[in-house]
Amino acid sequence: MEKLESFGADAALVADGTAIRYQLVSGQIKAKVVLHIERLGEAQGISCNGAAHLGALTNLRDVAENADILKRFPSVAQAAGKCGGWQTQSVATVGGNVCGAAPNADLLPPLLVQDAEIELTSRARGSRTLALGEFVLDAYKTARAADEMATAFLMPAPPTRSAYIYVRIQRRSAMERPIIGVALRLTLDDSLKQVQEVRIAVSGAGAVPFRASEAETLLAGQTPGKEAVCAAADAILKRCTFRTDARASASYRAAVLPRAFAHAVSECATAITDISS
Amino acid sequence: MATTESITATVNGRVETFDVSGLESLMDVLRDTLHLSGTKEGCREGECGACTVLLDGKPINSCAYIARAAAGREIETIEGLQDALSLRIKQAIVEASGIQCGYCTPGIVVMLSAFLRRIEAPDEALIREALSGNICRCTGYSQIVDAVLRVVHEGAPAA
Repeated sequence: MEKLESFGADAALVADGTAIRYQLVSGQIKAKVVLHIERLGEAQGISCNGAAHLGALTNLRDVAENADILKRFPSVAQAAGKCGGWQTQSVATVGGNVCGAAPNADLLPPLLVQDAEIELTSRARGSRTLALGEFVLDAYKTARAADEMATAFLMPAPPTRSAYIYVRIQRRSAMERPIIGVALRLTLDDSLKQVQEVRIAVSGAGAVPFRASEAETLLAGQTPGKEAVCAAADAILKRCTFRTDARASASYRAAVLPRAFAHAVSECATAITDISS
Repeated sequence: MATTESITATVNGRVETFDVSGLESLMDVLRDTLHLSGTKEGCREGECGACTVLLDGKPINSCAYIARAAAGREIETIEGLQDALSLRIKQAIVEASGIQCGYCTPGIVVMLSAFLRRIEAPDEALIREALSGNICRCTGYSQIVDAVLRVVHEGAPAA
């Protein structure tokens, strides 16, 4: 923390490093010093008793295999387990994936639908927490001050009668960044027929992954059938700016997103009905 | 920035002290400084798994790993994996014809050793998931997966 304070924006923070060595060597990222923060014990580990606390330096393999996360926040575990191969996940951290703020960062959509907060710590000002949606500002840009590091992620306990999913559209089934990602948290009412509340986050559909709040409002109180889902999908599409890149064209992304969303809604609804009946 | 520093780490059970410079990768240090050339260079950007080694027992891509971050830690490479489980994995890959050119094989053996040390009786889906970070351009993977299933079915020996 002392070193981070003195070097500030000249420092690159490396937990254990998956892509950053390559980015530094190739000049994609410029830094005067590289601070290795992997062994900061206080920012490691997972605790979960309803609400969850993920140390920012927890590696993705540990998140993917953690029994409590698998049970209570399964889409977060799914996303961690899809991010690169096991060799990458052994080294990659939650903090690194989020602070990298890529347009298709795997952890962001499932964390966004859980109302996750990020805890940022600096030597001068101590800790502050920020809603994740306010932390990620633009592609590869966050609200982290130069003397701060991410120390934890906090997720409140989700409501009952809820199900979660992270749908990832990709070219291969592994070792590939997503073309489109959709995370959903669906909560049904007592009757198990109507949507009590829904949280939708999408990635690969704009500069950064975002919550589609207009679609969430539209779907609340509705029966999650074809008509309501189509209307919600249209509302999501209105917020999207798709681009064409090496992985897929903008028009493919626009075509596949509503389908991924409809699949997510139907999987979640079925999961809740199965558990509750 | 490219300063040289001397670090100490345990490599295949031996305490070694060696020089690392700047952002030099662990793979380059293993191959060029320690002459452990069983660790292969494939993509050099953490995609293909040919350079897989174990760091404190966990599989990592050594090409993407900054060598000086390995100070004080335990590294195992293909050369050091001589326990009963690793030897059985190597033998099973030969028996199942899981090798063609052989370039990816050291990385695959290292990955599988870490995997089967931890998970004794995985199913095929989990085996494929565990191997998803190791790219092989020859075999089509089926024979490699067959080799692992062979080891699992006969009861993997303890590491």
